[in-house]
Amino acid sequence: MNREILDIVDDSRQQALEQAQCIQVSQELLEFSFNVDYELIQKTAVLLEIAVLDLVSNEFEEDDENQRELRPVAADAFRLLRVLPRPNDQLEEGIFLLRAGALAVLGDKGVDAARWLRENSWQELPIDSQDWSERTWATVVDVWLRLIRKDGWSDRDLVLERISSLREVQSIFEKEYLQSLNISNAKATALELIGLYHLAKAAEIFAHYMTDGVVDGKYQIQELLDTHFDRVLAVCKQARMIQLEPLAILLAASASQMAENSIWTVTRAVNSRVSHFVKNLVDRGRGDKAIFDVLPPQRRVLAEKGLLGSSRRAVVVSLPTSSGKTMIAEFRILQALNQFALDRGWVAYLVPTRALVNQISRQLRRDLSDLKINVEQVSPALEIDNIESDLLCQDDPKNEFHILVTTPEKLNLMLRQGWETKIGRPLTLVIVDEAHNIQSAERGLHLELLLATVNSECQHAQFLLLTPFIRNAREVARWLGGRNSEDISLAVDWQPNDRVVGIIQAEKTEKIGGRSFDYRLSMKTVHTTKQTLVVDDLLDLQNNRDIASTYSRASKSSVLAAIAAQKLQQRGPVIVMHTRPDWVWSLADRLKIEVNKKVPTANISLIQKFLKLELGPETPLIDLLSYGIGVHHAGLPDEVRTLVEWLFEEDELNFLVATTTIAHGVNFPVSGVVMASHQYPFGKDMPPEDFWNIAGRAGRISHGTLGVVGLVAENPDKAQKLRDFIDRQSGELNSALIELILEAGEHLSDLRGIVTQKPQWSAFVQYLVHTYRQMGRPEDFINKTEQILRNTFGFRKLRAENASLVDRFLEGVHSYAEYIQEPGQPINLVDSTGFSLESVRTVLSASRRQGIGANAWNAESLFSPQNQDLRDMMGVLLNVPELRENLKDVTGGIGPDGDKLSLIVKDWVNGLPIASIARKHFMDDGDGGTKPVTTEAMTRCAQNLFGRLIQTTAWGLGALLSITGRQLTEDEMRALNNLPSRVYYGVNDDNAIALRLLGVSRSAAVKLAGSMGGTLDQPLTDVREYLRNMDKPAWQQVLGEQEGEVYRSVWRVLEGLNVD
Amino acid sequence: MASFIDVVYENQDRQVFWCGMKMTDGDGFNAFMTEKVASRLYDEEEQAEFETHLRGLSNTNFARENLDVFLAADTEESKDGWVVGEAIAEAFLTQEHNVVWPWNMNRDKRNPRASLAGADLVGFKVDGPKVQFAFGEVKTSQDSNSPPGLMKGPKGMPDQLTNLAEDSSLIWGLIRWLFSRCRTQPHKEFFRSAMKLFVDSGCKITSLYGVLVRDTSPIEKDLRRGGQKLAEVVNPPAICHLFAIYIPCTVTDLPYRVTGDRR
Repeated sequence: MNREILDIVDDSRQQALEQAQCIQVSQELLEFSFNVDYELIQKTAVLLEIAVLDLVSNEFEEDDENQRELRPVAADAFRLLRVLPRPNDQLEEGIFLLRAGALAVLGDKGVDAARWLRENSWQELPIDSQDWSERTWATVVDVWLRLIRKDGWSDRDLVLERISSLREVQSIFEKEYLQSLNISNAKATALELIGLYHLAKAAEIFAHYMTDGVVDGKYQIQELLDTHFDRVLAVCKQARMIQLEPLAILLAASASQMAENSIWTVTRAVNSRVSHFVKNLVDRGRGDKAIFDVLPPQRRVLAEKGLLGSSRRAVVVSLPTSSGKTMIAEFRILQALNQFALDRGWVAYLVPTRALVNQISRQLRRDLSDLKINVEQVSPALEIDNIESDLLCQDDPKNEFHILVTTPEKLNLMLRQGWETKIGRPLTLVIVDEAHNIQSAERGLHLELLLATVNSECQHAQFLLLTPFIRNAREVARWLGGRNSEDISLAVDWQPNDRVVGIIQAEKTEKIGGRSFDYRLSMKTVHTTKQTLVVDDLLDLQNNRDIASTYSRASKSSVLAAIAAQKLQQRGPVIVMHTRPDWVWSLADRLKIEVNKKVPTANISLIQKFLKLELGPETPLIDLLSYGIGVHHAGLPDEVRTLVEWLFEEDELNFLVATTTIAHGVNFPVSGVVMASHQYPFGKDMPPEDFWNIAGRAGRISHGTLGVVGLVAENPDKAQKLRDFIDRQSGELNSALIELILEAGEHLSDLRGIVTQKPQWSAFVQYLVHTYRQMGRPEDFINKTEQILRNTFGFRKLRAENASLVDRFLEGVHSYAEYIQEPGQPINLVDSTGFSLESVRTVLSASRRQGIGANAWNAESLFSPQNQDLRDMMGVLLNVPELRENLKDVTGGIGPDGDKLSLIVKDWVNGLPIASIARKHFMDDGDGGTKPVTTEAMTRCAQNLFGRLIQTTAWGLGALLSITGRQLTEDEMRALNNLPSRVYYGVNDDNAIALRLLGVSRSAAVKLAGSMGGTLDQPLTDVREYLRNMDKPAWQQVLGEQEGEVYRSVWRVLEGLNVD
Repeated sequence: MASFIDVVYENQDRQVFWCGMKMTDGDGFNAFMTEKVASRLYDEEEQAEFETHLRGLSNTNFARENLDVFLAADTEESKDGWVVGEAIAEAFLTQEHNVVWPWNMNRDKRNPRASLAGADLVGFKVDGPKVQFAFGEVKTSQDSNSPPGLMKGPKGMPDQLTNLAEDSSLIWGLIRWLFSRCRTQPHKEFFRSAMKLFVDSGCKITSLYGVLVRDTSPIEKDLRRGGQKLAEVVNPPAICHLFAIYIPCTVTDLPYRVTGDRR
C-alpha cells in the first residue's frame, strides 16, 4: 500500500519540501516573504505519515528494504510537519509535536527533533486537569515528548515523576470521571484509559533503560515495550480511538527505534570496560550533557555493522563530518585494550596536526581517565627525548600508557627505531583520524608507508581508519586487512543538521552622492552533492555602513566577508576564513566596530592577560577579543590558537577569523561559515574533503538547526568559479605515492638523486632502506622489492592501472636496492635520523668539513650567545634536502644563513619573549630599533618559529647528534638527548621539558620546574597529578601573584579542567 | 429503496441534498431493526476481551478496580435510544447509499474525547469503481419542535458538518485513523481509491452525511434551514446529504424494537 500512497504523493512531495525549506530558511536565517501553501504541506505530510504507518505496520516484511524505504519517508514527513503552524489547543499541540517527533526518530532525525523541541518547547500541558481523561492524555503526551527531547537527566526524571503522580491520583479522579459519563461513553473511555496507562508504563520502562541500561533485571527491553504497545493496539481495536490508534502505531515503532539508538543497546555485551564507559557517558556526559543515544552513523557502525563484535583487522569508517567518529574510536579502543589485556597492549591514535594531538588527548583523557586508562601524547618533534623515553618505557602497570596520541611522522620514526620492542608491549590498534590525508602531497606518503610498515612488522596491530566520505573505502580496508577487513561508509543519507551553502555577492543600489553608490549583499543558495537546502529567492544580507560606506568600498572579498559575517553572527558564532595570516588580521580588523564591543568576561580577561604576558601588550588579538573576535592562524603560537578555540567553544566569541588551513583541524561546531577565499596559500583550491569538513561543522547539534556556509564572490567570474568549486565531488582516496611517481618524470630511474630535487621522495627511499635493514640485509633484496612495494596502497593500485610506468619505477627501485647494498653504507642512520641515505651522507661529509664531531655537543654551552657550534650545525642542516626548504623560508629566502637561524634558535631556547624575538629578527630596523613591534613582524616570527623553525631544527639537531655523536657513551648520549627538545619547547633546562610536554606555558615552565624538586623524577602521570593538585597560592608563590594565577588557569584550560 | 421506507420530501440547494424518509412499521422495519441494526449493538465476546485488557493492566502498576466496574457492568447500552439511533443511521446508509464502514461496527464505541476530534460516521461511499471518503454526523431527537434543538447551535448537526466541510486538519485526522483501520481487503483498496480521488480533486471530494432520527411527523422544516446553511459552505465537488428518518415508534421504544419486542 505504501507504494500506492507514495505514488499519489509523488507530485506534491518535492514541491512541499521546497516550500518547507523556504519556511525553514526564512524562519531561521532571515525573514523574507513568499507565498506558503500550507494546505499542500499538510496534505503531503499526512500522506507521508500514512505511508509510514503502512510501512511500520508490515511487521512481516521487516527487512532492510522496508527500513531503507521508511527512513526518507518519515524524515520528509517530519520536515513538513516541523514547519506547519502548531495547533492552539495545548493537548492538540502536544499530540501534533509527538507525531512529528516520532516520525523524526523513524527518519533518523531524532537529533533534529530533540533540538527542535528544546528550542521551541510545547505549551504547558494540562497535567493537573480535573478532567481525568485530559489529565492522563496530557501526562502521557508530556512524558513521551520528554523521551524524544532527552534534555539531560531532568527530562528523564520528570518522566518518572509525572507517571508516578498520575498513579497516585488515579483512585481520586478516575471513578468520579467515569461516573460523569453516560455508560456507553464510559466504557469507551475506560478502554482508552487502559491504552494510555500502557503508554505511560512503556515510557517509564524507557526512561529507566535510558539511564540504567536495564529494567527490572532485563537488558533487552524490546519485549517489554512490545507487551505494552500490543495492549494499546488491542484496546484500539475495540473502540474508535481517532487520536490514540495512529499515534500508538507511530510510538510503538519509534520506541523500538529509540531502543535501538540507545547507547546501552548498541554497546551491550561487549565487555565490562565498554559498559563502564557507557555508564560514565550517561552519568556525566560531555560538557554537562549526558549521552543517552548514539547518532545514526554511530549506530550503523557499532551495532548494525558490528564494529565492536568484529574481529576484522582493518576497518575503514567513512562518515560525514560531525557524525561522532571520535566516540566510535573510543569504543574500538576499549575493545582492543580488552582483547589484549593480558599482553598489556597499547593503542596509537594518529592525528594530522599538533593542535589535534592536544585536542584529542584532552578529549580521550576526559572520557577515559575514570576507566584507569592512561592517555599520553608524545610531541610531534621527531626525536624521542629522555622524558618521552621514560614515559614510553614505563612498566609499572599503574602508570604505563594505554593510548599514545601523536602524528604519523613521529610514530613512523618510533617504530623504525624499534620502539615497539623497547616499550615491551604490543601495539594492538592504530587509529588514523582524518585518514584521507593519505593522499596529501606533502605528508600522505609518510602515513601510507607507516601503515605499510605497521602492517608488516607489528604482529598484533589492527587498524581503524576514520575518514570523511570516500568512494573507495573498501579498497583501502582491503589493502590493510585483506579479506579480514571491513568498510563502513555512509555517504549523504544522514546529516547532523540542515545546511545551506550559498554564494554571497554585493549589488549596487541607489546613488548616495558624488560617484558613490549604496549597496546590498545577498546570498544565492546553490545545489550541492550533500542535500543542502536550496531556495529560489536571494537571501538579503543587507549592507553595513560601519564596515563599508559605499559599494566600491564593499566590493573586496574581505570586506564582503566581514559584512556577511556581521549579519550572520546574529544567529550564533561564525568562522570567517581567508587565505593568509596578514589578510586574516585585516579581515578581523574590519569587524572591530562599535556594535561588537562588549565588556570582557572572566574567560576573555584571562586570555587577554595571558597574551599580554606571553606576546606583549601590543598584540592586536588582545583588543580584538574585546570585540568578540578571535584570530586563528599559523602566525600565532600553538597554545594561543588552542585558547582561542577554547573561547570559541565556550561561546565567548562571535567571530573566529582564521586561515583556510583551519579546515584541517577544526573539531567544533559553529552556526555559520563565511569564506573570503576557498583556497590555501599559493592559489591551491581546497580539496572537496576539506571544504566539506569545514562546511560540515556549520549548524550545531545542540543549538541552531540550520548551518549556513557562504562563499563571497567579488565579481560574476568568481561566482562561477565558486559554483564549480562547490560542485566538485569527493573522489576516490588516492595514494600520494602514485602522485609522486606520476610527477617524477625522468627522475624515476634515478632514486638516488631524486631526493635532492624532490625531497618528498625521502620517505619512500627511507622505507626501502628500513625494510632492507628489517629483513636482515638479505642478499637477494632486489628480488624482494616488488613484494615489499605491494605492501603499499599506491603500488597495488598502480600495478593494476599503469603497468608500463610500474616497470620503469621498478627499474629505479632495483638500482636503488643495489645502491643501498653497497658496503659501508650508513644504513642504520637512516632509521635513527629520518633522513634519506643521501642526506645522511651529505651530513656526514658536511659535518666533517665543518669540524663538527662528538666534542661539539655540550649541553651547557650549545645555546649560549658566544658559542659558534650551533651556527655551524645550522649551516650543515641547511644542506639537507628534507630540512632545507623549511629553514630557508625562515631566513626570508635570502639564501643559507646558519648564523641568523642559530641566533633565533638561541633566543628562543633562552626564553626571550616572542615579541622580543620578533623585534630582533623579523623587523627591518632589527635589534636596536625603537619602533614598536608590528603585527606583521609578530606574525612572521610566530609563523616561522612554530610553523617551521623549531620543529625542523629539533629534528635536524637530533639527527645530527645521531650522526656525529656515535662515539659518545650511553650516559653522555643520555645527557644530550634532550637538546632537540629544548629547541622544540623553547626552554634551556631539561627539567622544564617534562612540564612543557604536560602543556605548561614556556614562560612558566622553567621557574615552575625549579620549584618542583624531585617530583619531576616521578612518572609523568604523577607529575600531571601533582600539577592538577597544585593550588593557586602554590603557583603564585613560584611565579608571582598575577603570573601565577594566569598561568595556572591557562594550564587548566589546556588540560581540559575547570578554571576555578 | 426498501419497501418500508417512503420518501416524504426532498429538496436541494446547490451541493446539499436533503430528504425526509418515513419508515412504516411492519415486518420490513422489524427485520431491519432486529437484524441489521441489532447486529451493530450486541457482542458476546466483548466481555471476555475486557477481562484480558484488565488483566494486562497489572503490568502497568495502574489500578484496575474502577475500570473493572465500568467494563464489567452489564450495561445494556441499547437502553440508550441515541445509541440505537446511530446504528439505524449506519445501517440505513449502508443499505440505501452503499456506504461501507471498514471495521467491525459492533466494536465501534466512541468516547467523548474521540468524538470531539472526529465525526460520528467515517467510511467510504462506494459507487462502482468510484470510492469517496464519507464522513457524517447522527442526531437522535425526541424534541417535538421543528427543527429540533439538535439541529441548532454550535453542537448542532449543521455546525458539525460545517466543521467537516471547512476544517482540513479534522478531515486529515479522520483519514489517518481510517487508514489504521483498513488493514485488509477490500478496505485497503477502498482507501487507496478514495485517497487518490481526494488528492486528485485538490482534497475536495468527500461525501458528507447528516442523519437525523426522529419520532415525530415528517416536516421539511426539520432539515431545510440546516440544508440552506450548509449550502453556503459545501463546495463542489464535495456533496452533502441530509436525511431525516422518521421512525414508526418512539425513541424510548427503540431499545426494545431491536430485540423484536413490538410493545
